[in-house]
Amino acid sequence: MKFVKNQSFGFYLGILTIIAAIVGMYFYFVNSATATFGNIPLNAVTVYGGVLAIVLELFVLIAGQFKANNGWLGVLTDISCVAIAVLLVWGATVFFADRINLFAGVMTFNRNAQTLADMSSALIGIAALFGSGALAIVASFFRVSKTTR
Amino acid sequence: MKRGTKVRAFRGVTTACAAVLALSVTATSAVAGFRTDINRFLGTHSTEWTSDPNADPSKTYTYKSDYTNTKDLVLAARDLGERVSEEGSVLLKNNGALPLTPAETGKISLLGFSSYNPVQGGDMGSSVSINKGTDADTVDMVQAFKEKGFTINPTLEKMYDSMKDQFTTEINNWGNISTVTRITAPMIGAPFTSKEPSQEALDKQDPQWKASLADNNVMIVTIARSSGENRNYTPGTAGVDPQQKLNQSDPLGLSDDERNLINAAVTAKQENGGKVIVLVNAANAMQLQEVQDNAGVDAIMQIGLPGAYGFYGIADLLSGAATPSGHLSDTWVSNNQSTPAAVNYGDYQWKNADPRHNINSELVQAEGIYTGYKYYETRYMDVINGAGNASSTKGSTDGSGWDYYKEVTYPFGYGMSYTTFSQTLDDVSVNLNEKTVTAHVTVTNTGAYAGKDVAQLYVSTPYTDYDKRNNVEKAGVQLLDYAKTKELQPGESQTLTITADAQYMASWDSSAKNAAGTKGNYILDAGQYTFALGNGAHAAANNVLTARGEGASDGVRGNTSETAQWSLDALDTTTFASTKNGTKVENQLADADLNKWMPGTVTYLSRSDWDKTWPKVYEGLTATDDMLKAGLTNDTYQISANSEEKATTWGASGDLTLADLKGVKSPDDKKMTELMNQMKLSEAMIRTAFGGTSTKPLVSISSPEVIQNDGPNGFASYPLGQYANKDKSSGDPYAIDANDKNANYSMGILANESILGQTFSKELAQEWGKLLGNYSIWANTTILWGLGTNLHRNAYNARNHEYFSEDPMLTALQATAAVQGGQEYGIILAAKHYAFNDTEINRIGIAVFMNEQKAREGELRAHQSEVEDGHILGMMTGYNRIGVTAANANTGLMLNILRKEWGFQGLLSEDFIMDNEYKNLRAAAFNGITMTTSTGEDSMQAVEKQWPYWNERDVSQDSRLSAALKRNMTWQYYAFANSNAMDGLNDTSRLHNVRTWYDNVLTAMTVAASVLTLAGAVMYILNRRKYAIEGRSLDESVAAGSASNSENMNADEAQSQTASEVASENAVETEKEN
Repeated sequence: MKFVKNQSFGFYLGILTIIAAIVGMYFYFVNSATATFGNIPLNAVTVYGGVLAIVLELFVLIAGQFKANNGWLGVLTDISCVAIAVLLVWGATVFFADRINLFAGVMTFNRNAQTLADMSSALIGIAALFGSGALAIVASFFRVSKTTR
Repeated sequence: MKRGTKVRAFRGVTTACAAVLALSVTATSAVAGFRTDINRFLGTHSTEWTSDPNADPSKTYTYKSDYTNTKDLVLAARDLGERVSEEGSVLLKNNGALPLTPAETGKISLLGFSSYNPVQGGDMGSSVSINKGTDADTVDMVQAFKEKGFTINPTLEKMYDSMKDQFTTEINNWGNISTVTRITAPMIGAPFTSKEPSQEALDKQDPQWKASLADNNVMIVTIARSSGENRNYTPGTAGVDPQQKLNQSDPLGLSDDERNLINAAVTAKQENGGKVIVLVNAANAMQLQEVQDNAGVDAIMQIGLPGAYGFYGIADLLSGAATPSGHLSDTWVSNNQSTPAAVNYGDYQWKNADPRHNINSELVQAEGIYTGYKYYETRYMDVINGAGNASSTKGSTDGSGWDYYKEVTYPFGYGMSYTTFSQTLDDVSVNLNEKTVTAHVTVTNTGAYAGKDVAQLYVSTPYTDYDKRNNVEKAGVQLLDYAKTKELQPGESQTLTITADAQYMASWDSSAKNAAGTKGNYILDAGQYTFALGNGAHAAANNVLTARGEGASDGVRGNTSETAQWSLDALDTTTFASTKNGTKVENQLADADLNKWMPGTVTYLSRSDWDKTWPKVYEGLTATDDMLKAGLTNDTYQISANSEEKATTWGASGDLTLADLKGVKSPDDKKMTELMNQMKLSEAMIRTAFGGTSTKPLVSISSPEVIQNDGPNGFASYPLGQYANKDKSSGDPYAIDANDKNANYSMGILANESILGQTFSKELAQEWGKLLGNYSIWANTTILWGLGTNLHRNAYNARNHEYFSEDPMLTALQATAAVQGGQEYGIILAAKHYAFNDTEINRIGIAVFMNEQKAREGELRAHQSEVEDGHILGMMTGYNRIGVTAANANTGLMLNILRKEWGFQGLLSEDFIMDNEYKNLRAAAFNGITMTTSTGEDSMQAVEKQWPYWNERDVSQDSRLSAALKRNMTWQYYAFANSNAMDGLNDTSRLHNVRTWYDNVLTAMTVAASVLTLAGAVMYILNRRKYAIEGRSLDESVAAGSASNSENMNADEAQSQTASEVASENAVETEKEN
């Protein structure tokens, strides 16, 4: 309970960022295994960038619990905040850009229940990743815990 | 504000700006990939031309329109639309009720909701454009009839109008979800749902509607079925909405609500006098035997999907202002499931289907050559001759012995007129040296109305023991060619000369030796050849039988004056052993026969024994490892370093432009070669990979952007003003005012192509091509994927409306005439989909199997004349596989037949395949595909991202592929050089890249985001440093204070009170302040 009481707004935003990023990544992999989108190669920016963003967000949340946040740890935390948002927005944009053509196809020539279902996983994933990016941006304005200076 | 808060604020600002920077940089790259579409949407340009203003204008604008303004242009479209329906609508039944008298046109009752909400185009693809406020607005049936002076029963009009909400359906048309008020075609796998109101519903809506028929007793009942791309009619009751229970046995048969409506009209006629006329507003052949048999129905007219103006022509036909001269382009039967091509028609999934490779289903076309009339008439003739177990119950609708007259309602080529004609086949001469069949036909109008008539020239080739031994099939009759008369006045005669291509009499024999020393050849059998005219294939068949002295005891009464004989003494395997360009023919599609992969599996239908060879359903198949390796996994071409071809020159220096090659006569022209040498390999690779919506401009050879449009019913994708030149000072004679009344005119206005087929008029097809060519000049849109050259394999393909006919010769000759008509205007009128794209079920990936005789005498024949005679400059390939290999990757189909045997020298695009593996870029390029429909950034990086193997290093080392790319680009730019895409350019024209405003916005966004990111970072660092200094000072002061107060505190408390805690408290306070 004390731990929870000690957390600041940034902590909860960080948790939401991770959840949204994991949801986005999950749907990215789900979508990449569908018949409609399966032959689009996995994009390193989305995959490794997404994973790195999640790891960095975890780092930020953990580092934020320490009191001595004014030295190298604080700088690393702040750099991580920037990197998280960049990686997530970049990954989401690439996710979307790689699929624009096929979206057009699904909405026109190849519209059927299967392709629409396949497309929905892409849309959910893209929305989640963009959402995680937005959350990361907002989170960067707040400290993680009340312990943080 | 506390220092820690400032640090976080600048951290946040830096983060937000960096994220925007990432977004803008990535968006800049993505935008480059969709530049054409964005430019189109925004009206911007990314390239700019400079030319010497003193250049000769006559060399700048080469192609001339027949029209001087857009008003004349769209009025010409309306005029042609009206005439096509006049000549393409088919009168199927008439007991004298038609034409109507002037008095009768004053008391018209339109029955059926489709009279008020007709189907004028497809649901998706070939959808009719609804133009309003232009010089040629779209009209529906009611509007057209009223404009033509008809008076419509207002009670019915009001009643149906008040019910129109019941007739709506949501459809998807190229991504545009809209609600239409009319009947629609079912999506793949979905059932047909009738929307015709029941009698009870009509009575409830207006109890007086039947009474209103007394004074308006010329009753026109419209029965409609829609069509559409990516749609399908599932055969039988499975294709009918089970909830409706309307006694409908087939989606293309009548429902009780439709039946009862017709009967209500018949009853009203019995009570009040008058007439009952049924209009069939459908492109798919419907089952109309019961309407034909209904004595109360006076007349039936099939009007297809008449486009924006066709109802003007239909009104003229009804009133007698025009005389019908259309003939069916399909066989209309009592039961569409009775045709052997319906036996294998559906979703037959492979047992080892694999979506990763688009391996979905297979389709075995076991009917062989026997589709449409080639089945019905051949079997009929065999029944008459007692041959081949033709009277077997196999294929019989009622289960008794097969009887032509129980199966066929209206034969292929059949059509009535208000007048009568006599035809005499004066003579026929076959010249195998010139490879022609020349016939003279005298047509005389023996009736009371002026009208046109069609001379349909059929040939019956001998079916010999040699054929039976070698599995060569022969249709009893086959259309060879045709001609249409001018309008003949009563008593007037005209002698038509038909010069047919004799190669289309020949049959493909896969077992015959050939000039290449292999197997597979066109043969002419020894024996008697009978040429026959006739009002349709059945009349011709009867004429053949009578001419041969057959069938008299069965009541066959043909007309021998409509026949001629020619005999060949010995089997001829040499005359057509080489094509027109001298290429020796041989088997090219052995892979398409399932028996190659699974020996003994397929029995193809043979007239040698209709019973034993009747098709069975081929389903539940498992693709073998050989089939997977040979093509199903799309791994048919590996890029490898080799020197099989001479080194290809790329990126040579030079100052030639494509405009210098305007009108070049041959792709082998020396200057053309020099020009193409200037192109870089990367440019060729990008243009092959990204050819969608337009071919992008190329600075190295100053080639223009070449815009594409889709639609067998005209330029439907963009309005006239989209790409039209709006700069009147440019010297372009076809520039339009920015506020031109017709700038928003959309040209998806023509009737569906089956109607053009039904005109049997090459002249009208040529006019069709001319109109499209004229429009192309004004619209600055060069490529139109506008000729549907697949065949109607059976009635259930809901995309049949985009194709001409079940018959390859009618298809080929109409399409060729259209191509030739358009050429003088510089349009690239392209045929699609080469080949065998004759179902929409699993169309991307379906493996279509057939024997080579069917392939060559069916859909390939439907494409051959466009290439050999029409010199067509553009074609589109099919989505499907042929055998195990995607059509795009099939060397036999694409290279050996299309390019080599026929000599096709134009551009060749894939269809809208979006799957990068199935698109099979490397194999497609090797096989002569010049572009795909993908779009993307003009960079190798963008291409490689989608196809990692498509990189310059590897491709440059593959001499075969490098040479293929040069050859493909030469074909493509040869086509452009001979098109109106070159209009506005001359030998002084040079292309330059320019930036658009959105490029500037993105750049500004990137710069601003960069600056702000940097500024945020700097401010962050400064505050962080101060924060760190202040933090240390605070720590020190707290530590000092702590020491002085230590004696007042116990030791434990003193240890725990650290500077950090103080700072933390400060931060908490700060947060509260925030």
